Amino acid sequence: MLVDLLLGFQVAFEWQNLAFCFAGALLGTLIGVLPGIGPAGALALLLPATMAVPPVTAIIMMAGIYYGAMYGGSTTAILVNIPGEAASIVTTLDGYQMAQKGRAGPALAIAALGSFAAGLLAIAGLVFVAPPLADIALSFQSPEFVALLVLGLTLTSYIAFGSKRRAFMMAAFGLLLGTIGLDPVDGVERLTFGSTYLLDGIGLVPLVMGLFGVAEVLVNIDDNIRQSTVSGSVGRVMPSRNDLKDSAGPTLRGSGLGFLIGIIPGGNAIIASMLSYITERKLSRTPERFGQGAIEGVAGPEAANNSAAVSAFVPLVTLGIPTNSVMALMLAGLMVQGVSPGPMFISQHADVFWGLMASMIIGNAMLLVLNLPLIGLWIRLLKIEYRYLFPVLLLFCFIGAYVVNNSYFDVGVMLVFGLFGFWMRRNRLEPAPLILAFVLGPMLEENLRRTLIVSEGSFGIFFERPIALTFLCLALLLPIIGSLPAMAGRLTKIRAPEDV
Amino acid sequence: MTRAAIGDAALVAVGVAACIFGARLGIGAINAPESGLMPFIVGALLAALGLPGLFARAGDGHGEADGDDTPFVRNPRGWLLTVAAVIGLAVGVAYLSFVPAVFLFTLVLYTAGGPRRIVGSLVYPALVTLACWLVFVHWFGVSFR
Repeated sequence: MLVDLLLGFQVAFEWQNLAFCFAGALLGTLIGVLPGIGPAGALALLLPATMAVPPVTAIIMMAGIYYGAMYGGSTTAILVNIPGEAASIVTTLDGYQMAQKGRAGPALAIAALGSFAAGLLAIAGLVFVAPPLADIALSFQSPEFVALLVLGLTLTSYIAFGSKRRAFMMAAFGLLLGTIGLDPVDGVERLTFGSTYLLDGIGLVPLVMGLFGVAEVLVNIDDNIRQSTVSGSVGRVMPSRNDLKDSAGPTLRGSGLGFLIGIIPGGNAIIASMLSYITERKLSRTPERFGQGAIEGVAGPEAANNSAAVSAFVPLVTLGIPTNSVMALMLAGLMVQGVSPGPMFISQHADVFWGLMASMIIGNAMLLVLNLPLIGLWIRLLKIEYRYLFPVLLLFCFIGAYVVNNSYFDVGVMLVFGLFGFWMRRNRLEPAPLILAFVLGPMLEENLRRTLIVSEGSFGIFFERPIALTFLCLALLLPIIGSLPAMAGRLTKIRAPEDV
Repeated sequence: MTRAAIGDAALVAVGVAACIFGARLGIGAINAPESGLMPFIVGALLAALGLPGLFARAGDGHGEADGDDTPFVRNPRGWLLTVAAVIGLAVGVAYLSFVPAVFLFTLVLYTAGGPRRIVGSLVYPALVTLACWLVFVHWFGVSFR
């Protein structure tokens, strides 16, 4: 493993990879700082920039954009009470309170240090977990993949915010969109309406560009967003010894929690940071300080969201299954390059995997160096008026959608899904279940049909295979267990008038 | 009918259409599934998930996802202009070439928000066009036809 990691550093230290790692981390931080564009949008926008380089450089840059955006998101959360990306919502609770008390500097420093430490711990976890998991995944056959994909889709929809039923509807719609084009087994045309452009199905890049990039811009224009207002001074940046002592435990716990959540299909950085915040408040001897500027409320969630961002790579590189929208984009970026993640990924593309691991360590160190001295620059960036930004964002979406196939049809697809994404936002629907279902749908269909053919139409095959049965049981039980408290609450409400 | 109900109804209609399409394509047998199976199952799932929402709304006048009584589009002018500008950009790049189309696109969107100084109105789109041309056309070699 040490030899592999050394190979990774050799790859990561090539000047081109180093430059793209830096560019990804910097651009990711920049986009994370700007409210309104999350990591998925950032990746969608910058995907074209990764297409002209080799696969290893592309994934190094994409990963840099991702964890850079996670870092950057905390800056706006602390300084202006606006999360730069969704996972930083929790950081606003105590980070902004610290800033109001003149302690923005230590809050930003702890967020950066906590993210750095969590990033390193999660990378270590990834290095140890991914190769053995890939070996286990090699024993997976169609029934296991069907069960795992069903579990992934169920969890993604179940964990989504808002109405669960409508999240499942979006997942079903995503599955339907995934059936457009040639049938993966028989090669029969489906839902193409005679269009040759649709034979290969709808492209993931235009779909994501539309749902995240264009929809985001349309929502911001519609809401008349002009610019953020930055108030208050940053103060002394370096945290005190007490700050560091108080943050050590939450950072470690947040790292562990984030790592576990990131691996789960549907688990994401937002859930990780929320769980970390709740855990820290429960463990604290003075929970009343939370929400008033407790440094533990910044350290834990920031560590958790960065750790989850890194561990989300585990299912992608070992099973070829993205657990969130950002990973779906990573998958798209790699597939455009002709690299398919899966159980054989680590052995067949050792340079890509270990290069990515090493670049993450380097990238996280770069971010630590970048974030603290550049705080002043990020503040100035926050003052840029939106009218300067949105034409450029739309241009990036346009070019990104076009460049994959050099097709204006894809630009049209992007625009249609931009409008659909706008409709989804206005109806409080999350795009994540749709995108994941769209990506996983063809895999699910192929494996389901293969399973049914092999088992001669018997679903008993799932009961004969323990791993598949476990996944299916989890897919069935977790939503039921999760909805028990809500059902109990409803029963209590119904019974209450009778008791009176 | 609320906005959410219209959305649910549209998705139910899509689900039913997918079921019909799948059935016409051929579902096959359980031990020999055919191409229509997946669209049929997914369509049925979509319709089944949408119907409870419609019935709930029909019964009590509002549904679980309602409550957003704000207008669907708050700034129709900016919204429509943006959509039109993206369509115009695609047409412009195809018929005028990349540089003039991107310049006009940026100029229109940049100046749409209100009066701007003439110099600034020209300099900003020119800089954006130059940067995009350098990065995407010159450096990455993307060809727009």
